[in-house]
Amino acid sequence: MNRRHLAAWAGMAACLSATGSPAADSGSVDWPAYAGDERASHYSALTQITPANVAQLRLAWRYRIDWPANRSVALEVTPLKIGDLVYVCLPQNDVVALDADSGAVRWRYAAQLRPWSGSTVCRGLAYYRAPTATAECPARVLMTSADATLRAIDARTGAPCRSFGVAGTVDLLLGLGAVKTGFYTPTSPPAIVRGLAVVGSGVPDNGEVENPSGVVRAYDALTGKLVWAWDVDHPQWHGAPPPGANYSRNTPNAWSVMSADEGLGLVYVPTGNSNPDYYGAHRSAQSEKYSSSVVALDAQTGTVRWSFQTVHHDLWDYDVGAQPVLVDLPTAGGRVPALIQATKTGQVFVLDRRDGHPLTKVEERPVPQGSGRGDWTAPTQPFSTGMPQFTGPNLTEEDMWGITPVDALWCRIKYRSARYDGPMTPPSDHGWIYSTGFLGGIDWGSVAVDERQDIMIVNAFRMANRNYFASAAQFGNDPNVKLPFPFYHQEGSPYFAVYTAVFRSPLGVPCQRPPYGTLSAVDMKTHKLLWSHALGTSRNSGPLGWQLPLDLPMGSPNIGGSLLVGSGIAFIGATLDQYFRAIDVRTGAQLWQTQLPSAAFANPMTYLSQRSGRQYVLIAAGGNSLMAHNKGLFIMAYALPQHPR
Amino acid sequence: MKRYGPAPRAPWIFAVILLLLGLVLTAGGAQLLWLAGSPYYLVTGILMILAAGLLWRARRLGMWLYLLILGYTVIWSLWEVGLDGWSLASRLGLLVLLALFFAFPGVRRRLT
Repeated sequence: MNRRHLAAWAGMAACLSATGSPAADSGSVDWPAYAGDERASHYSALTQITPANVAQLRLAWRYRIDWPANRSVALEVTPLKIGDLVYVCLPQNDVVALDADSGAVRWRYAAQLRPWSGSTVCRGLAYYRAPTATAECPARVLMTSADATLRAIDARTGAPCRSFGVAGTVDLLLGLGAVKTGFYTPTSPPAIVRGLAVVGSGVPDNGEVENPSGVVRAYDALTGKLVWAWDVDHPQWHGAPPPGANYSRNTPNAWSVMSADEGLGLVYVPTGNSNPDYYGAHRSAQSEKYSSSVVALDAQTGTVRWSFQTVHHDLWDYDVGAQPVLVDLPTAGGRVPALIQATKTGQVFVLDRRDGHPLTKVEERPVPQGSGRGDWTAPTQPFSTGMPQFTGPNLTEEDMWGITPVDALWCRIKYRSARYDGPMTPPSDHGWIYSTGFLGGIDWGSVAVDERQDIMIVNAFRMANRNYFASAAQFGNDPNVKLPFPFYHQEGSPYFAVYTAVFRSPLGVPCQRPPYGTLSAVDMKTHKLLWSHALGTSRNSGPLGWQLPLDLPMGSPNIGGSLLVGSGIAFIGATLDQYFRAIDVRTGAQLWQTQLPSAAFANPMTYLSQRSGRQYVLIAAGGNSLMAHNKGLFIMAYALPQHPR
Repeated sequence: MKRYGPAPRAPWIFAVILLLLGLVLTAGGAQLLWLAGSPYYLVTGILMILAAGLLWRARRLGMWLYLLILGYTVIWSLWEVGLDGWSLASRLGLLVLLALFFAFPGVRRRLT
């Protein structure tokens, strides 16, 4: 209480001086790419909001997204801000431009999607300004849509850029062959590099082995013309497939956000796996080579310059979700262009982004062996031993948890009867537990880095999965049965289906002890932890699906990343408890929090409005159907109270 | 003829709750021990059934037996997880809650 008041008073003084001279803020006042810029550090040099005044933050405006309350959704968008406008893609792939100071809608682009099903996620947009004056769309917003298109929209008016593709749209289904409705649903913004928009894909997990190709394609950001393609099984095709042929099916797909180095001319692609997730005997040699990796492609040709595999022969759904973060880091030989690749296993790999060689120690360590029925297990896996781990300790029987001895006993029995041999425990006919689970570790929220202080902020989710294979007999021997959640078909494997879920007791309580979420800071000079705390409380969770309003410091499951601002604050939502928080980067102490209308499984962003001189911090709060029901979808904008100028 | 009903003035609802808890812990505990897990649950389950039987007969010994279970559970918990608050809460929460029942003087007076 006392500290809060002190901070408020100190803050008021700082705030008065800060708003008096917005020009004092160095760095960009905009947020022109998903994670700040194509280097994706989630960092802004803006300093108007400081540790001293952040406690005064309040809601400046909010924008309500129209979305049916009962329809499933995952709001994961990070808005862009350029000039006076904030650009947001909505789950239905409509795009709105909002006034940066008021949140009022300046224009709205209606996507009018082709019939599609499945994913309704739009993580964000890309922004591209033509290098020379063009008659149409000198500045444009680019978006991949759930109905498999790449679209260009005039950033000023919201009109489709007619000169791009066919009337503003490029059809991403071309060259893929037959694609079932809902089987190709990109969710991430294109990467912009050297005048190109590079797009990945988005295919369903598990299910079938005839999934569409994971081909990565680059289009001219002005014309929408295909410039290159990277199909792992056809490296000799540099563009569209030859007549009559299609890109190879079921190759590792790049569903998450890429980053790019304009100077080096490289685009960095995080990759997933071939289907199904828990069996891999049939994967092609090329797919094996590039799955669960970060791949550096030549921005001009799409040829592979280097790749680094984070998990060999992935049998855990450990696809790389985190956007590669490109920062220059100190080494014994001076500052080096680095790439930080966080993974769902809770590892953080630090590589030289010119050639992919590790800058901190990576060890190939023996791992448990013995996945069955014709499949094989990689003898070793890479462990980033030169960096702190965010995996959590290995699970023991004593770690089994419950709110009563009865559910804890249930968890102990499951723990003892399933296979668990520490990290990378492979699938087993007797059921298996693996930790971290398929939600991470560190998923698409990635990490945030302040290059001035060489500090990295990491939020990690720590919850095991419990899996077992199920036979067709369990489902009446009907091969086409629609499986109940959380069972998934394992076509292409000797198994009919897999049960894969967070390891929880029948009461819906995690089978392992808290914390379930952590927030940590790492000194990138020494590669040591500066601090690490439980992130989030038990609010909105509880046994039997109850959403109890209790703020017990359990560390919350979290999805989505953090934002760092130059004054030394990390902003983060991401937690199930529905709070949006400001954390002191130096100490890890919480400086401010506010309750959101829905959980914010999205990355925050910030900008300065040059018109008003105010710095805003934005976050999308809309929950998601897997973890928390949406209670309304909002873009929330926070700023310091306005002072007379 | 043997009497199966609760003794007069016996805390029979509490005894039934304890019996059910004991049965579940015994069955699950046996399975866990079979899987090379902790013997704590099987032992505790059996003692809880005994305690439930004694309380059914309004025997004060049932209370002491329950408190003995609570006592060694505290020691076992500290041995397993040290001072980890969440882990202690999981092991002790329900047992402490049930122990509060004996805090009522009326309950203790009814036991002989």
